[in-house]
Amino acid sequence: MEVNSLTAMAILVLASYIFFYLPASRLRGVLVLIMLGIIGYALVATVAEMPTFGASANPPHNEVYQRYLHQAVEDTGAINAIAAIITDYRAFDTLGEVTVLFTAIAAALSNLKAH
Amino acid sequence: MNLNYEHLPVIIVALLLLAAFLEPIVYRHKKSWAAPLVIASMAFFALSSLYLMAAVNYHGPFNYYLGGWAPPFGIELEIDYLAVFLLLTFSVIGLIAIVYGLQDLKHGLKDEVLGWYFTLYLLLMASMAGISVTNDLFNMYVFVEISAISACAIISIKESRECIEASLKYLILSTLGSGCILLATAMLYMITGHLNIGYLNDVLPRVMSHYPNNILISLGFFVVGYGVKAALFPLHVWLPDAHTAAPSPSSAVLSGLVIKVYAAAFLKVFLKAYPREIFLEIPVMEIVLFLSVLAILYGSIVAMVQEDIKKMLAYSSIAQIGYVFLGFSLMGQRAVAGGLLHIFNHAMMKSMLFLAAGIIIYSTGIRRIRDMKGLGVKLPLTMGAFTIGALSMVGIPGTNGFISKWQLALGALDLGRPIIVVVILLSSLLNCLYYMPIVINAFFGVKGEPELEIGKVPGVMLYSILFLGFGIIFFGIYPAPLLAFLQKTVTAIL
Amino acid sequence: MEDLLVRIICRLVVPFVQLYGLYVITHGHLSPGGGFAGGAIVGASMILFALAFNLEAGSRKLSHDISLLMESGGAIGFILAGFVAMLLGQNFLTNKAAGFPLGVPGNLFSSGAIFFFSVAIGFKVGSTMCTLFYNLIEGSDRHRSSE
Repeated sequence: MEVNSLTAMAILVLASYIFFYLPASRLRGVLVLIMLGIIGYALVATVAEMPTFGASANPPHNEVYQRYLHQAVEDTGAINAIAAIITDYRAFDTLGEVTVLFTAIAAALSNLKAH
Repeated sequence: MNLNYEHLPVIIVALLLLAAFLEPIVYRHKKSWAAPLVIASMAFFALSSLYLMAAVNYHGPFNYYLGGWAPPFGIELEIDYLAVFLLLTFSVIGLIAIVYGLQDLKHGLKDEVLGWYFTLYLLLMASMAGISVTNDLFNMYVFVEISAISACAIISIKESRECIEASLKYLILSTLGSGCILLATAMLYMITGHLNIGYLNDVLPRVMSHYPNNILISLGFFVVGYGVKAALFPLHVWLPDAHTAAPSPSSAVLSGLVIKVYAAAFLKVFLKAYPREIFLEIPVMEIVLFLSVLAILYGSIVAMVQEDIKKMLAYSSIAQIGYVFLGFSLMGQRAVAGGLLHIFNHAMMKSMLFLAAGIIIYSTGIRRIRDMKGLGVKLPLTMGAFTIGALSMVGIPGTNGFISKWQLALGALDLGRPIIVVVILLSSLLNCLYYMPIVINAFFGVKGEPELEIGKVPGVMLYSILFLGFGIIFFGIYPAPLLAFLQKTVTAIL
Repeated sequence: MEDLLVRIICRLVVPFVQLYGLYVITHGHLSPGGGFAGGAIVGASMILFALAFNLEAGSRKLSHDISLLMESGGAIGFILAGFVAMLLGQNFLTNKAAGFPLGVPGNLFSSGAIFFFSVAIGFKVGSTMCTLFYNLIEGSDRHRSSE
C-alpha cells in the first residue's frame, strides 16, 4: 500500500468531519460504511501478508525461542516451559498482571462503596 | 549484600506497588497511618528519582535485567536520561498533588473510599514509573493497562452522576486504545521475534521490505492507541468530561501527568523502537504533526467559549498536549527537547491551575468563570498563583511556558518550517484571550451583588500551589541546567 | 433459591473442586495450569457455594477481612520474594542465580521461586474472584433494599 501524506490527511479530515459534525442520516451511514470498508481492506491486506502460521522459518523462531524450549529446565527447574517463561524469564510481566487484577478489584470496590 | 543505585528504579516500582497493596489493610485497621504511608512512599519516590537523576547525570545511563536474564530473553529496564527526567517530573508533581489532596479529598469523598483512593493513586504512580523505565514493549503494555484502569477509577470515585458518565466514556475509549497497542505489539513481535525496544530497532530495518503492510498497520495502531490515551486531537473526546468531573487532585494528576506519560511512551516507541528510515517511507510523523497543529488550534478555540473553569482548563490541556506531540513529530534535536520540556512545564502549570481552581471551588463553591469577579481581593494568594500559571500558559517571558514554546519555535525553524512558528504564536494569542479575562476580572472586576462566602483555605493547599508557582518562575528565569540535561537526553535518543 | 438437590450436590462437589484447584496451583511448574487457572478454579468453588446457599453462608466461610488479607497478601508475597533475591545480591525476581534451591526437575518441590510465585498468584486470583462476586451481590442487595 502506498501512503501519501496529503491523501492520508485528507482522509483524516474527511473522517473527522463525518464522525463529529455530519448529522445522522443515510448519507452518513453510507460514508461510515465506506470508511470501515477502507479500514477493513487495509487489515485484510495485512493479514494476507503475515508469515504463515507455525512455519519454521517465521521470525519468532529465533534464539529466544530456542533458549526457552531447550534450556528452560536447566535455567529454572520447571518442566512446564510456559510456567518457566511467565514466572521466571518474564516474571515482572506477571507481577504486572497480578497488579492489573488488584487494580480492577480496587476500582470495582471503590465504585461500589462510593455510590 | 550489594545494593547499589542500579537497583533503585525497580525498588521504586516495587515499593510503590507494595504500599498500594498494603493500603487497604492499613486503612481498615489503623486509619490514621494510611495518609502518612502514601506521603512516605511518594516522598521516597521523589527523593530516589532525584538521586537517580544525579547518578545518571554523573555516571551515565545504565540497564537493569530483571531476574538476571539479559535481553532478548528477559525484561530489561533502561534508565537513560529520558527515564530519569520523566521519573522526576511524575514524582514531584505527584507528591505535591497528593499532599494537597489530603485536605481536598476529605471534603469531596466518602470516608470509606479514601483508603481505596490512596491505593489507586499509588498504583497509578507505580505504573507511570514503570512506563518511564521499561525497555520492553509488552511490559510497557502491562503498565499502560494498570494506569488506564486506575486513572478511570480515580475519576469515578467521586459520588456524582457526571463522574460515572465521564469515566465510563474514558474507560471504553481507553480500553480501545489498549487493544490497539496490544495488537500493534503483537504485530511487531510476529514480524521480528523480539519485544525489547533495542532489538526491535536492530531487526526492523532488515524485515521492512518483507512486511511493509504489517509495519504500516502497526504504526497506525500505535498512533491510535497512544493518541486516544494522550487525547491527541480527533481522539480527545473523552478528556473534557473526565478532567472536569474528577476530584481536583485527580484532575491535576490526570491532566498534568497521565496524558503526558502516554506521550512519552509514544516517543519511546516511535523514536527508539522504529528505525528512522521508516518515517521516510511512511509519513506517519507528518500526520501526527498535522493532528497536533489541529489540536493546538482546536483546543484553544473551544476553550474560549467554556463557562466552567475546570472545563476550560481541560480544553486547554488538549491544546497543550498538541505542543508535546508537535515537538516529537518534528523529530529535530531542538524540537524534541522542546516537547520534553513542555511535558515538564505543562505538568507544573496545569496541575497548579487545576489545584488553584480546586481551592476556589473548595472555599467558595464557584465553578463558573463569570462568577469570579472580585475574587482576587478575597483569595489574593490563590488568584496570584493562578495569574502566574495563566501568564505561563500564554508564554510571557520570565515564566517557564515561554521557554518551552521558544524551544519549539526554534526547533521548527531549524527544520525550515516557519508555519509552525505562526501556529505557536497564534495559539499564544488565543491562550491570552481566554486566560487573561479571568485574571483581569478577578482583580479588577466589579463585585457581584451577593457577597461571596469565603471558607477558610487550608495552609497545605495554599503552600502546594505557591510552591508550584515558585517553580514556574524559577524555571522561567533559570532554565539552563534543565536545557543542558535535555540536550543530553535528545542526543541519546536521536 | 431453596433447592435441596442443588445444595446437597454442591456440598459434595465443592471440596473436590477446591482440592483440584489447589492441585492445579501447586503443580503449575509441572503441568498445564498454574496460579491463574488454579486460582480461578478455587474462586469459582466459593462462588458456587454462595450461589447454592446464600451470601451469609458464603461470608461465614470467608469473611471480608480474610479475603482482603489474601487479596493483598498474594501480591505482597510476590514482591517480597522478588526482594529476597535482591537481598541475596541478585537482581529483582531472580530465581536460580539467587540461590533458590531448584530441586530435581519433575518433583513437586522443585524450581525454586516459581513454586512460590504460583502459590502467591493462586491466592490472589482466587480471592479476587470471590471478593468481586460477593461485593457485587452485596451491592445489588443493598441497592434493592434502599429502593
